[in-house]
Amino acid sequence: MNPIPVLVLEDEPQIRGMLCQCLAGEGLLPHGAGSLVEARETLRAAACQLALIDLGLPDGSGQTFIRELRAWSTMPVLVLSARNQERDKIEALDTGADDYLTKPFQRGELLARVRALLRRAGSSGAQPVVEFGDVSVDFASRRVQRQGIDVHLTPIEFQLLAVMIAGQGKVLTHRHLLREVWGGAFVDSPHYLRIYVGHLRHKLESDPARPRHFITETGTGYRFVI
Amino acid sequence: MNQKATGYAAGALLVVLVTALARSLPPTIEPTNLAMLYLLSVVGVAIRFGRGPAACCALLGVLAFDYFCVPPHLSFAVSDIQYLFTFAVMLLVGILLAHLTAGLRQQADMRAQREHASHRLYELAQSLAGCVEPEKVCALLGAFVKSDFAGHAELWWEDSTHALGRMTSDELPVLFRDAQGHPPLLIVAVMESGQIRVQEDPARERHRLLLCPLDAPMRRRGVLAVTVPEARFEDLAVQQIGSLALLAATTLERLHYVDVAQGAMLDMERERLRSTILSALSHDLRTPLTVIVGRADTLIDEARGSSERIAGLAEDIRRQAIAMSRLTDNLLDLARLQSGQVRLRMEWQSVEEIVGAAVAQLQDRLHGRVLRIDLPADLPLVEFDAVLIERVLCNLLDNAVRHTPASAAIRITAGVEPAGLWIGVDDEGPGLPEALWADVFEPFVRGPAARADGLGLGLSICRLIVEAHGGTVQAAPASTTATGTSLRIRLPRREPPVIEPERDAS
Repeated sequence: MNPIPVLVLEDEPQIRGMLCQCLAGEGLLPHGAGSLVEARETLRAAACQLALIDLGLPDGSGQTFIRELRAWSTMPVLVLSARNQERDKIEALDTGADDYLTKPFQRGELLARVRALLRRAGSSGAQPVVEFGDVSVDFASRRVQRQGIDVHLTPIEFQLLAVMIAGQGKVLTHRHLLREVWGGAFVDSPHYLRIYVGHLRHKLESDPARPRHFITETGTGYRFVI
Repeated sequence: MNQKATGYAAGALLVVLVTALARSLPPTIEPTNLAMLYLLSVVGVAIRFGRGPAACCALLGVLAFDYFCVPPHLSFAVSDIQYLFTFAVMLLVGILLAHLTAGLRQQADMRAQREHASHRLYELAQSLAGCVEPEKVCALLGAFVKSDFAGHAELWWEDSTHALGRMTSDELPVLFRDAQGHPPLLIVAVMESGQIRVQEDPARERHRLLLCPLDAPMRRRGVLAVTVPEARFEDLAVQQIGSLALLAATTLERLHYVDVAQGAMLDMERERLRSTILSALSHDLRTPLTVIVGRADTLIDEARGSSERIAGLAEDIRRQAIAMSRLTDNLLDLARLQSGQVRLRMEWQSVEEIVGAAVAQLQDRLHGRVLRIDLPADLPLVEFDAVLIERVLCNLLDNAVRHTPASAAIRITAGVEPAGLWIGVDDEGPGLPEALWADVFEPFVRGPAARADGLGLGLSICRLIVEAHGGTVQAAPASTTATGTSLRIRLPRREPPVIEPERDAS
């Protein structure tokens, strides 16, 4: 099997080099780019299947590039950002990025995210039954069981669970979840989300204060991990 | 005084001239026609010198007419009785003419004076429009009062701290501060009442003191004090000084807002610079750290299995780089928070969620530690900036890990008070000396057991963040264990928004 081509858009040469080395070690084929112009050329030349994008670039913002990319491609996008950039992160995620990593990140974490995104992209989509931890969700019959025992979820809780499972491995912004579950009128009422994610954790997590599946991405949203 | 005497003399002279003229005319002319010449001279005197000299001229005219023109000549005796009637009418018409003409003249004068005054005010308004500093306003007012009223002006102006300050255009102030340096009571009284005040000038002889409140559109900005010699003090002066005060007030208010706008601009500039420097610093420090961590990770992977020693060294490099990155974060956070310009993103948050997120953040540091999370099940949502409070909890936990032996348990608790919420991190460490309880949240204060890898910034950042939320931080001995420390934060709380109950059909 040919190695999967990956776009690495990062203006700092040392970080770009390090990222490329990490990805190559994982059997991928990284294509480094230091600016938006180079990145566009790279995308024309190679059929990249994943993009790693730094938000601050010399000739424009990463967000602009993601918006361009989303016009024609659904390839997974992993954003690299600094801390204290919540606004930029949220904008990138709302524009179409799938996940982000905060610098400095560890190699293991980077590779885990990359693998998860590639797996997601390669999967055939919705499955009728999803299992995570000791929970199984049967979408056809709308049944949720934990340790073999039925768990009762309200319609909104079930809807929220379904949206989170559908976006598993991605960071789902507050706005996205509120719009998908409650509708556009609720995008500025994050307290609904706090309450309902809390309900799901209490019903489905073994330790709701230390969740393993319904992960908080503080300031940006949630991530569902199988 | 001199002017009046001239008027009377001129009147008398005119009567002499008219008499000489009358005497030179042929005697065939009727004396009654000569009376007209005298009346004409009265009009002339009235126009030029006013009421008094004209009336005097009329009287002299009648006497001269009688003496020189009415037979018998060179005698006050009258041959024809009907001349007495002529004299009476002549005197009456003369006085009436004097009165009317002088009145008209006076009105014309007054109008000219008013026009001049308006013109002067217009000129002043024009110069004030170009003014950019209060001192210049005061100088212009002073020059105006000096040239138009031979007086002195002084501005008492409220600055941004609401203290009344004095600006004088002359070396000699109009009013003095009292012995304690307070503004004069007169000024304070006008400032409070907003009424114009006119009185004797206590400091200058035969001067009137006029105090005008400076009422600008937004509020009263100060008092204009003007002292004017009594001789120049008329109704018009009061009116004009009133207009002066209005002009000054509007100008000062304009200057005040220019100041405010400039200050805001400067603040913005400064803030932008600060934030640019911090971002650049943050980026420049983080880039090499990211590379070091990444490379060390690779090295660990590659050395594992072949050289455990090198893997161990690489592991150490990585750990140090991450510690360095945390320190960088703390320093940059401290700089941001101390500038007081951090904008809070207040949202309704779940305490359980934020505690979970902080614990997940510190997963590596907490590895192998006993951590108990005891949160009441019914904690309400509380409004705070999630990213910053997560930072507080991370720092509290990090502090507990740093200052206690690996065997000591750490406990996170929380509780609700009527108007607040507290979150506490208790440890079973050796405890904090009592002397440090109050200081532990100060920057660069470190506990006795602190290792070399801390600057004591973590807790001071906690305090800055919590105080930005309007809350408090507190250190005390742990209540549940024999030793140990309990660090608590308290955040203000209001009733959370209503969550529409869900209609659950199933």
